[in-house]
Amino acid sequence: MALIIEELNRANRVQARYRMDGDRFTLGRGYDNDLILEDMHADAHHAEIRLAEDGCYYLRDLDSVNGTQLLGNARDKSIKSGDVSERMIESDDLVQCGKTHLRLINSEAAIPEAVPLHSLESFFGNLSRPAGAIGLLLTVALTTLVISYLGYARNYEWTVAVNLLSGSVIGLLVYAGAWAFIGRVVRHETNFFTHLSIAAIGALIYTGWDWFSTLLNYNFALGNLVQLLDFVVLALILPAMLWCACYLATNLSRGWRWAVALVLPWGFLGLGLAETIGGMDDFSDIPEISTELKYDDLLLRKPVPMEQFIASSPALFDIPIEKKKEEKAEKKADKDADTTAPEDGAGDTTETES
Amino acid sequence: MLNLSARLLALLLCCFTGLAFSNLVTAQGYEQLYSDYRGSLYQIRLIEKSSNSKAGLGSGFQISADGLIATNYHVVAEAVAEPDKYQLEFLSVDGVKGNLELLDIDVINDLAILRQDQPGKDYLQLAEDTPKKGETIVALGNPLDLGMTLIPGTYNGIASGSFYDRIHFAGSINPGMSGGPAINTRGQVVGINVATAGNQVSFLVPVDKLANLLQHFRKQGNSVDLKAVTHQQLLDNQQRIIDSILQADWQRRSLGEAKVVGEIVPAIQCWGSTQESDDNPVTRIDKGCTGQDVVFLSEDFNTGRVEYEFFWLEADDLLPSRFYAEYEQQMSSFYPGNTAGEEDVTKFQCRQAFTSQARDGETPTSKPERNKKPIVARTSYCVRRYKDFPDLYDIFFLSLSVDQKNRALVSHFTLSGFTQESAAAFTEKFTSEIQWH
Repeated sequence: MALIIEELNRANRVQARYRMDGDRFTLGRGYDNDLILEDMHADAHHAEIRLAEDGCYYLRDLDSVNGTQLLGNARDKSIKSGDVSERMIESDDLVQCGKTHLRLINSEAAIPEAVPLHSLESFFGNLSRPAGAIGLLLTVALTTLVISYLGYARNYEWTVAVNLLSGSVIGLLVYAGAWAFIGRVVRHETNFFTHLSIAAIGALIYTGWDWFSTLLNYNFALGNLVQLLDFVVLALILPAMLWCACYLATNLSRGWRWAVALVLPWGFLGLGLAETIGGMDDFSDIPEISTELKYDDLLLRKPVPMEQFIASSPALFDIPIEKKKEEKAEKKADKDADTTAPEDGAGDTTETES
Repeated sequence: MLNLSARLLALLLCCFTGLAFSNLVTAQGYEQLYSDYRGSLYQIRLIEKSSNSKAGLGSGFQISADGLIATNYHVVAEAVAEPDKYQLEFLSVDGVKGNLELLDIDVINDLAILRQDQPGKDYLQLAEDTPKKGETIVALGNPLDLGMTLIPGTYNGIASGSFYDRIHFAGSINPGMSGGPAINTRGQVVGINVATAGNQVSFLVPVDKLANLLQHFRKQGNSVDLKAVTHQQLLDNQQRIIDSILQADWQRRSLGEAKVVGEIVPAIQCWGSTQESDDNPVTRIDKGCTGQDVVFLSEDFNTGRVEYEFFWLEADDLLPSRFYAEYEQQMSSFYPGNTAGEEDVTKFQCRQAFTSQARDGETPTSKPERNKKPIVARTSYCVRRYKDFPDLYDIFFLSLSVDQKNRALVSHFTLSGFTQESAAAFTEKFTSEIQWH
């Protein structure tokens, strides 16, 4: 049996580990200590740990200037923090000497099961290859270029092409760069090419959907449904990308990772969606028709004879107009309320007139 | 000899003096006309009740001893729509003020009859004969609230290019003169000031429309349901227009490789243009036809328009997807021909489908295989209903061909203020007339 003393850095990651095999272990700034603290707030002989006859370890403060504090216990949340003069150590105690954080662990304490590698790990491994990432990046750039060329009949200026290419490439590079930087800071892992590949895949999927939605709208005149489907697609792509980014670049636990990946994009999309749905029933003096036009090699439906189409039009004329009555009733109620307050007579005369 | 020359001289003198005299007569005549008829002219004021101030101005004139006043419908339209919010007042040339009661309207010819609460002494006679072309007539009214004004001009017959009869008056009519009379030199009303196209080109409502309205009012007695009257007038008007269109001979004119219709009736005028530029491989030929005038119902609601347009697009050696991208971009915004708000109409209800139509006609020599395939088009048919006149609709039709790699024909029409029967008849005729060989 031994006691393991872990020196933690600010991010609570283990910086150094010491093993106490004897029955005394000293901590302090002095060079004769077992654990030499690099901390100007710690005394030369700050604290000591002793193995008592009962087999327990005791932590004792050596009258240090700043004292020794118990910050808590990683396993037992009921243990309160407080100053320590002498304490029987329980495994996983968190202790502060000066400004240095230490974790004290009984070497025989149960160790949690190993976390299995995430099933996506090998997928991310594949994406991390620079050649693949750059290939994907170029595919995105070329796809953007081809789509813009096919969607534009006038003389294609090279400046437009350069703009588009650089725009899409720089956009993806900035995205990957930003996450790589976060990863570097938080986890000491860059994963730049993996981020780049994920961004490129996301962009490709969305571009593909975008084209496919025009095809759907052309053939089936989906109207507002296209916008809703667009939200759905984004609500799938964005959380997936964010989840991957969080997985690769941060230390968030599983639950938090899912929460961040879902709540952020869905929150913003939800706001947009609410606005879109709210605006759908608004009055518009323009007919809401799909204006999508494609050559009929992309036509999936069988055309109906014009005569038949026109013959079916009478159904369109059956439009309910109850709304106006409601409005009128409301207005009348408002008006009555308005007029009765200042002058009762005026309200009455207008009614008899009408 | 001497005798003869003396006689000639006398004759010449007579002529000159005659000319001078006649000039004198017209000059005096205008003064005389004004002083004779000023008593029957009024400014019509639309007063907003809550602020008790002017919300609109127009002119009007008395047409009967019992105090009936005629003016334009558009001068009083707001008081028709919101009688609780507005009230109408008249102001005579001498500053006498009084209230007006709205009695009868003709929305098609933009006329209204009102009654003064205290009738004035003078009133104008309505002319029974039409003036001769070139005859001097005088428009009276109060332009821009500057005071009662007299503007001489000439009668130029009924203006062409409209479904609604209007006298073309060569004289300046300005805002505020609307609803004022135009009288002949005998002081009889020949028209009612209604609109101007600027530069001495102005329009008057022929007086027989006013005589008809007056007759209608007298026949109805004292109670006229303005909404029902408007409804009936709109119904009759659309019937008149649709009848004239369907009875006409629809002459086809070519547009690119297609044949489309042009000016079916004189009231519909067509304009055309070709859009081509060096940096755009797609050439577009446009043809737009429309009946010029609309029926004014309120500031943001008008109706009674017939409008159709055609576009022919073509390009050589252009990838279909590039051609169709440009085609889609150019044809993505079509609007109804009239203005209407949420208060007045429902939303458009639309149906979209791909339609096929046989390419009939003689066989073209160059491309025989194309003749076998029908024209496939993306066709939309949209309808909105008038909330106050539930058997009237605005109809929107748009058909865009999609079966050729780099040729396209677009046909589009809007009808505003028509019944379902009229719309069906027009649509059937319209779609059967468009051809692409």
